[in-house]
Amino acid sequence: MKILTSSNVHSYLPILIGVSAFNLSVNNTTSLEFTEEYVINQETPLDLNTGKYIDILSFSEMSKQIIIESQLESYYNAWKEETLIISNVNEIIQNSNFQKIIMIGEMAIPFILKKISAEPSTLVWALNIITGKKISDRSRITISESCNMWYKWGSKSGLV
Amino acid sequence: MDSDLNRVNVVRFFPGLKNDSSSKVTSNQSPNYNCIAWAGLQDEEWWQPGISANLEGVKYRWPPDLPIDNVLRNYIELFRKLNYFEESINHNIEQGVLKVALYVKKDLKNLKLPLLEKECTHAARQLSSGLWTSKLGQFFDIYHSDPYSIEGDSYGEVGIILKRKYP
Repeated sequence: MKILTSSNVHSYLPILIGVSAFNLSVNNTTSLEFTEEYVINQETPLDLNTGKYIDILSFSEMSKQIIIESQLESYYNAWKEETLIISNVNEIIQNSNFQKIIMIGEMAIPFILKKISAEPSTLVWALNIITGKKISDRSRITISESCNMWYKWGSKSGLV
Repeated sequence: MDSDLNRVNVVRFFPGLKNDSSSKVTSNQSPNYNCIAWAGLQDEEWWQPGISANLEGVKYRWPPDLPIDNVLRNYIELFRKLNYFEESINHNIEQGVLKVALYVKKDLKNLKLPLLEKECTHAARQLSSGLWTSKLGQFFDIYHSDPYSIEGDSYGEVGIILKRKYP
């Protein structure tokens, strides 16, 4: 277990700044107690499920994922609102929020897979652009079908 | 489909529908086709000129001999290939005639352009009942009483109405 110390705190602090004191649940499996005192006292957060202090590296990675997921959710909602009634493909994929999703790259793939599984949409085009691939060579395939095929691919690959 | 919630969501984008007693949501949301394809009687394709990325999910049909600029002139040419040879002077129903309305952007940039060079945003099709049907991007299909009730910030204004005889 790595402990925050005065020598390594700077490595982790940028992720912690701006995050209010909170209890955090990740996929309903990990519940962490995390307050400013942990930073001040240079301690690690406590996993409330196990009662053990967690590895700060894992915590750092987890925090990063949560922040990215939160950003993706925000970009997705804005993109959807801004392009829902648009019929122009180029306008849909050149939308600034769609571009921000693409900029996140492969880390965005699980999020996209979950979204197109819950609600098939042209967000699937982000997968084409990020991976540089199509899921099917069939010339006649609907967007709904391609969303379904991408999700199955993601399940097999362990991404969702 | 035509729930209060869905209607409120549609009116949010098209305030003119609030006073259109014939307007109605007629399908679930679908990403599988766009308004241009829907006006051309297709519901599994996106019709779109000049796609810059290699995207899947639909067949992007655009006649290879047509320019790819997203302007009204090219959409008129597209519908000419579907036998819409004549311009209609109004939106009223005519026996044995199909009509399609093409919309153009109404922003500052497009206001200065000649009609045929304006950016085309949408297409609506008249039904045999006289009502009009529109596919709203990835959103719903709707009925509306005339082509003008969906004019506004979202799709701009009707640029031209074309007509053809029923096949």
